Amino acid sequence: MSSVNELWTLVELYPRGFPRQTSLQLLAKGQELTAKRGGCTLVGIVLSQPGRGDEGVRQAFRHGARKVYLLEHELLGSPQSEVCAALLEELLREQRPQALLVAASPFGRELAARLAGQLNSGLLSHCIDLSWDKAGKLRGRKSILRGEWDSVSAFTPGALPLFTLLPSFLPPPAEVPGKAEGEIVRRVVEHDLIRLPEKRLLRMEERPPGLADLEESEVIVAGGYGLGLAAAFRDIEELARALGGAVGASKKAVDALWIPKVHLVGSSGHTVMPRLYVAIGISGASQHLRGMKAAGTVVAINTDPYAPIFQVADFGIVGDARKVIPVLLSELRGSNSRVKQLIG
Amino acid sequence: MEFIVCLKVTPHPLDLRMDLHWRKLMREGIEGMLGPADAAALELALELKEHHGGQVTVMSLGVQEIAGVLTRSLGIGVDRIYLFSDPTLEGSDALATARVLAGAIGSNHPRYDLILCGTSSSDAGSSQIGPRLAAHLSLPQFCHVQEVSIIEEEERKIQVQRKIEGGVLWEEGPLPAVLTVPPGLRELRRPSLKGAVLALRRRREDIVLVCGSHWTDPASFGKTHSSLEVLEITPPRPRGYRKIDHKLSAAERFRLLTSGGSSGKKKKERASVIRGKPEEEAAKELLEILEEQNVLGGKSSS
Repeated sequence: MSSVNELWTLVELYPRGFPRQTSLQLLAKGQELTAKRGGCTLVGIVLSQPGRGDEGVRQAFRHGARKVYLLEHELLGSPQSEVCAALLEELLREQRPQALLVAASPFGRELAARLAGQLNSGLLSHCIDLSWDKAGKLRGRKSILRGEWDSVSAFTPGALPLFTLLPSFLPPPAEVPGKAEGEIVRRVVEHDLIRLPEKRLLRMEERPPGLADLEESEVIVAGGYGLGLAAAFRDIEELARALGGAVGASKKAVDALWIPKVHLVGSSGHTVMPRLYVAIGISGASQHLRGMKAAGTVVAINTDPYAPIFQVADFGIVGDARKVIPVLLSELRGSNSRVKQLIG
Repeated sequence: MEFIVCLKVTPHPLDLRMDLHWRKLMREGIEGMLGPADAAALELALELKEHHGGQVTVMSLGVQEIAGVLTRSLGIGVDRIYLFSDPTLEGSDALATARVLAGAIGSNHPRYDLILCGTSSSDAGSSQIGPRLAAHLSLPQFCHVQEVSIIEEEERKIQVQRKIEGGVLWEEGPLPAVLTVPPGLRELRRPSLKGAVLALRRRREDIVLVCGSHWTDPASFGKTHSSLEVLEITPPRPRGYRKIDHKLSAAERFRLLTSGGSSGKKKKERASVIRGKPEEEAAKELLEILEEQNVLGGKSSS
């Protein structure tokens, strides 16, 4: 089976047609990878409703794609992995690129897994890094067993490599200088041509602005029993807001009913891999560490210098959180531009 | 209504051991536990059974030791358990596992209405089984559900609320369908004493151990058919660690060691922990370091 020397990245669009931040980051990763391998073309795959994908295509070119497949279908107005997978399956079977990269966003995860199922092929999910081996094949590094180990895997010859990459570990979006254009391959798929389960969207609601979601957020500020009182979680929330992140909590804080269980990080709650994890007043019981050990940068603030949380921390403060937080807050709010930069 | 719940029994966090030579997780002789997402999926199925009647069937791949964990679920309302356990299945990745389960559901269960899975297991956690099953069986998938209601009119439908990036959406679809349930959505009930005793009595008939190849072609499963190969397993990148301070008193040094402090043999020390400074200064210093490391504004890929 012939394959084309192209690296494909999936470009997800917001309802209004602009690419998602994670998709632009993915293109930046694609730029890094194609630069290291001669002759490999970076291709963006844009899925949209007919006539609504132009901005997505333009942005894909500006962020380094040399070619764009624009797949159009009536049902692509809402995130329907069944439709996307059906469209992508056909294209992948026909073209066989070097690999397809998908951001491990909630939608990307379910789409990639469904696609892998339809193609009957492997999927290396939640990668933190990709690199080429000597034979010119991609291998993916991922963190396994809740951060206990890293594993490096590759696809067996003949397989169609599918990867999902964790957004927290992707580079920032990178625009390419100069003229941003390339080849556009447009495909309009008729509504009836693909067989789909009859799913109907009833309504969609955007989350009110404010606190981010624990599993999606790239920054998490987590509080524990060491905060001393339930009211201190309001400070944690404030800090999370200032950093543009989500609120996490340890088991003991949840058990004390200081904060609902949906915020629990650890072996009986969420396993998270944000870019920045700030643990405040959390001693770091092994159950908690298992939920956050794989985070990019871990910052710990605790009065006890012997707290196990410092073992997994990159940076830490030995001190009283109730005194540290107000300073952090006022510093973060210090200058407007700085805050914008931090949240942006 | 026929509910099928696909579960993975994973080693207890304290039992997680890596076989570095074969580059796989050691599962032999470990009874294990259900991860939080799988437990929530099972609980949701049991609740739906209470409302709509019918049967809950559990399916799982794994070593025979995990039967103990599955037995317990017989005491809380599960009707039948299929445990697929065969040496040929060893080393199955998500691809192989989903094919085994889809094959079993297709051949053993001509009638089913809803398939439930956890969003991800607590060991490998690749979040693939649910959507893969949906693909193999050509069913609609509803991932990361928050609320589920089954509408039984002349045509049976399912309505779900599910979480997506930046919001929630409400969808409706036909049955059968596949649902994936996130951790923490439900707390799994515990068996009563009566239920536990009943479970032990029923385990002989109601746990079906499926070994060998009489139900499908085993050559296509297990490690032989996985299209992914694990090349190496390495410890994660090192974090900042502390050296033992020899100025500390013996008692304090002892405390540092027992709390898991470093051995003192590591000579490299990173100025990672700010201590002995007033909080205000420490906080400012921390922010400076973080900004320098580019963790706040720009994104670091390391």
